[in-house]
Amino acid sequence: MRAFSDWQTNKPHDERVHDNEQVTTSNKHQVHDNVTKRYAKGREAMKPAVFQYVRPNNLQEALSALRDNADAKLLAGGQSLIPLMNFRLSRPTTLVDISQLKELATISVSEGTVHIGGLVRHQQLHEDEQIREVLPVLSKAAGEVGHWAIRNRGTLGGSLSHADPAAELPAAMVALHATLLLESADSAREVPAEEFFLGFLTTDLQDGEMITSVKIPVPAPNAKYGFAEFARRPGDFALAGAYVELSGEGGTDAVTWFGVSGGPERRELSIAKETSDRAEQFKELAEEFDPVEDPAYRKHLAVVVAEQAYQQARKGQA
Amino acid sequence: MLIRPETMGDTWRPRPDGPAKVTGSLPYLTDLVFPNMLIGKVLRSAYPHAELESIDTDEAKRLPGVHAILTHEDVPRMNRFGIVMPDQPVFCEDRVRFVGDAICAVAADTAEIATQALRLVKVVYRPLPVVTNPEAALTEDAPRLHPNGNVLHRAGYRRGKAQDAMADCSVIVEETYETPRQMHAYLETEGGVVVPEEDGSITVYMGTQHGYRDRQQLARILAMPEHAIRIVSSPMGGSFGGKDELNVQPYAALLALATGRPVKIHQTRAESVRSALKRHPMQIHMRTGADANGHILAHQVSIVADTGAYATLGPAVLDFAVEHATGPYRIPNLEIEGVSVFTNNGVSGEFRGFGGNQVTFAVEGQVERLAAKLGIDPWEMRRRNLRHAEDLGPLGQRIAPTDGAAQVLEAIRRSPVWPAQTGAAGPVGVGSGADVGSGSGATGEGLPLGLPWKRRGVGMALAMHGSGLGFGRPDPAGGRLSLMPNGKVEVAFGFEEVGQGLLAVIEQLATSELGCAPEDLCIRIGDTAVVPVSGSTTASRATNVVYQAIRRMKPSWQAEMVAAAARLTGLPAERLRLGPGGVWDSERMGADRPVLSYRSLAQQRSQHLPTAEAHFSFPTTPDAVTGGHYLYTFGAVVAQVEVDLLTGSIEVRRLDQAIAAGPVIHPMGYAGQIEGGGSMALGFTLMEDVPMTEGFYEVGNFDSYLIPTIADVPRTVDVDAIEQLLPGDPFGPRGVGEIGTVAVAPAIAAAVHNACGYVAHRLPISPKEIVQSWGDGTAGIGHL
Repeated sequence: MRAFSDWQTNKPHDERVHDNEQVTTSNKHQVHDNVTKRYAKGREAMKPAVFQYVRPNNLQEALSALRDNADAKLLAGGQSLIPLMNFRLSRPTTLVDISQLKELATISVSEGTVHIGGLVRHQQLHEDEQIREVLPVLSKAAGEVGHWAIRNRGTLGGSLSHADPAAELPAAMVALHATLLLESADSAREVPAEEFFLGFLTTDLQDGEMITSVKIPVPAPNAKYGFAEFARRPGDFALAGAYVELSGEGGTDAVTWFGVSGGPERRELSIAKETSDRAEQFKELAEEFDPVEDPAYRKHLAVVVAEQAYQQARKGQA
Repeated sequence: MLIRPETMGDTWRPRPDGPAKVTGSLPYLTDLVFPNMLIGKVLRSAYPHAELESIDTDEAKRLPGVHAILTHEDVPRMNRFGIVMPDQPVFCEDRVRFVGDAICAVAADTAEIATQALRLVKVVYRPLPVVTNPEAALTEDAPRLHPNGNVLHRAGYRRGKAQDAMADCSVIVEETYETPRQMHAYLETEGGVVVPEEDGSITVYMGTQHGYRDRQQLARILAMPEHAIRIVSSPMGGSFGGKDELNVQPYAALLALATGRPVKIHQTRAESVRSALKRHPMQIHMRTGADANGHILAHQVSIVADTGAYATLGPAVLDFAVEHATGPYRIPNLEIEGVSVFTNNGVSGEFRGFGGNQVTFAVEGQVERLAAKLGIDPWEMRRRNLRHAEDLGPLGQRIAPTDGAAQVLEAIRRSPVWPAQTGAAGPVGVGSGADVGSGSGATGEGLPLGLPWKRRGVGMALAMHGSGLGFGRPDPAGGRLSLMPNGKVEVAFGFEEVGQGLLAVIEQLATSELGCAPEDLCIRIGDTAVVPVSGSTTASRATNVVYQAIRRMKPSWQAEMVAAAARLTGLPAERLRLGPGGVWDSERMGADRPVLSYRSLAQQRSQHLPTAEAHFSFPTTPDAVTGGHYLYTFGAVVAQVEVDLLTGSIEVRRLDQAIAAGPVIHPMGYAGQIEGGGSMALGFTLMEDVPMTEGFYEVGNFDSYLIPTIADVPRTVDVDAIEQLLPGDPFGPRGVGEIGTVAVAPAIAAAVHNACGYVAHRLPISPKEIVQSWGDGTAGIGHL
């Protein structure tokens, strides 16, 4: 049957297609200028500003493209960059699409170190058997990033370079003593996570650099970690989150918060065994934070998630 | 009966427009593209309240790619719109009253050029003091927003002597309830295309809930005869009342006429938030007294509604709130008054539930508080006060007899999460669980999972909800059946498919009443060129109008079809029946096909094809009570929640609803309305609000306006449909588009109270306040 009046079939329809679907794989650097052409024809424009698109075949080509195109940006999962571009808060001249560089999407454990490629997707990180075994807290945290569809696309490198203060993974890197490998066409350097995050959406990443991988030391046998966060709705950015590290005999414990200030907040301390003492410790530390909205409630939540993370660490749940 | 796929037989089937909607293949009106089409944009006021000193569009007009820029000077006739009293300027002349007020509109080759052009328009404002809330608006020295002051409307109802009766009450509870500025949050923002036709007429492809009324309003603005305006208004990506009033139609129409080219306007979410309607925030003061047995003797109500800058349906919403402020209860002494007040806070208007949701939260809160004070089980408290089948309506008006209230109350007891017993062991949760980690089972459900900082509770609420526009408001209804030359049975109604499932209702009723198959039908809606007047697609009325119209048309339709078939086949008319595919011989029903297909009938007859029409009015009370309804639906909600005392978060685990609205026509759609309505009301209860500061919206999109996702709604929702109507009620099925939203908030609030003792009087319920109600909030940490 015909459900609606006949205009629906007789009138011309919107013929827009998704621009991304027109992009074909190529063997060489290829600039897809169909976007520009269609724009010039006066058809309905895309949400983002015009950009050039490059799909390199390997890491070296990607780094060269980054070097050779001023204001180029890497496109990996696109979960932060594309919304920013759609709002035109970001207007890169060139997108260097590294989403197909499989060599950057690997996870391995060797000689007491976990190596995670910058292109590892959150869901991959969450499901990886090795990660579950040696860094269960990271597996758990990765599973809390956004929604499934976001986790399927979002990448570790993308999350770390975007450095949203309420994101799970930047704080995870700080809590787990990660070191980031930053490569450019002409150089490479290693930066400890704690020095990488400089504040609200700000990092030490320089023009032309890419986070190609991170390395995380396999925790000592007696070290335990816990993770907890609170968001208004499942999948939302956390209002407060925390990782707790219990280092065992003789070591120093630590809490690493996120969502309560401009970036990951790591505090070393000797966490008290008595509940009330611990609550006081967490409260005292949380007092330093100055969340913009609902500060009293958010500081309260900081204490709650720290305690929840502590409980998990103690029980060895994560 | 519980609506379940397995109990619904072959009526459990997807709606005809379902597959195209869920696969994304259905074109909406905002998807349309026409040759030579321009893009329109509207400049909205930079201030919530200001005098307009000047508007200079010269530079903007010179921008290449700009084809027209229009201001108030370009409006041919009436520069105002508004469903009831047209007081909202199409374009402001000398004053702006909210940040969505339109200053000018541009048509350009692209959206970018249109946006750029609006940046070049120079507007000089002289800001005026902002009226930020109704209380301030009612003070003597408040700026007057309209010539008659800041009161849009007053309404009230009195019966008996409430003040005196309070003296006879054993308990009196008094509370002020506050409800949020909820956003409709339809997925498809306002928009569409207006096309100038060769004969000088225009076609408006834009969603609305009443195409004929848009036509009337546009004719006044454009100085065009109504017949020269065609409104195509369906399908829509949601409305919920929010697109019933005009929105961007006048701008696209004026620009299309000025340029002679099709003009599309499709608002961004930010433009939509800024200019479109919201639910009326209400402050509702109630003072309610009962005797020692729990009989409510007196009820005093004072409602203050923030109606924003312009009238739209503000008066009717207030009338509805006053009418429903008693709930489904018999209360001998009533004193209800309401006032709807102009402010500079956006524009409030029609929204699913129409003022009922706000007052139901309040009156059900009162019943809970009285029950708690008296130590009476909340279910029993309601039973003792419930209206009887033969009682008059809430405004003392005659109504169709109904025992819906008793039916839905009884259904509560069938819910698996409502404690079966009444009395002391029931969910009287006053102050229970006040001690974190007490581990006692004093709350409705005790402690799940051995987590002492999590508390479960159960709550219930009732609602009564009028359908139709009410006494004193023109409420025309009608429909048309015709046999088309191609043999299809055309079923035409002046309604819109707004997402509610109307096509499925029409299909189901037409096939079941007229005997034909779904494939025989050609359903026509939402296009003034081809549909009859049916009235508005609002007020839970469309399903009922379709039912009544088809029933009214059925005898003459059948007679005419059968007579035509009898002449063509030579068979006696008594033997012929309308059936799937055509006319059947009742003595040979085992045949594999009809004796005459509809197609053959149409072809052989070729002229004077059978047709039937119905014109009537939606049933209203015979008593002259403005806004008083005649048909009511009833709803009961059981909510089960889990409250996290450390974070204040509330998980709604169950949201079961029993609905008395007459026969179920399309079970999947019915359940969808109740489940979806429940989710929307869950948002109203727990997260949705558009805060304003000095007349500016603090929200511009869904990043900071939280609506429930699939993860926030209960996994299990039972919908219990009570279909029986009493003798004396021949009116059949009522719409259920609103009733599923009305009693959800008080049920959740009662469940939260039952779980942790927190008593909510303001929506959305604040997690922060729940945490604060537990001292400094960290006391429970020791139990983690």
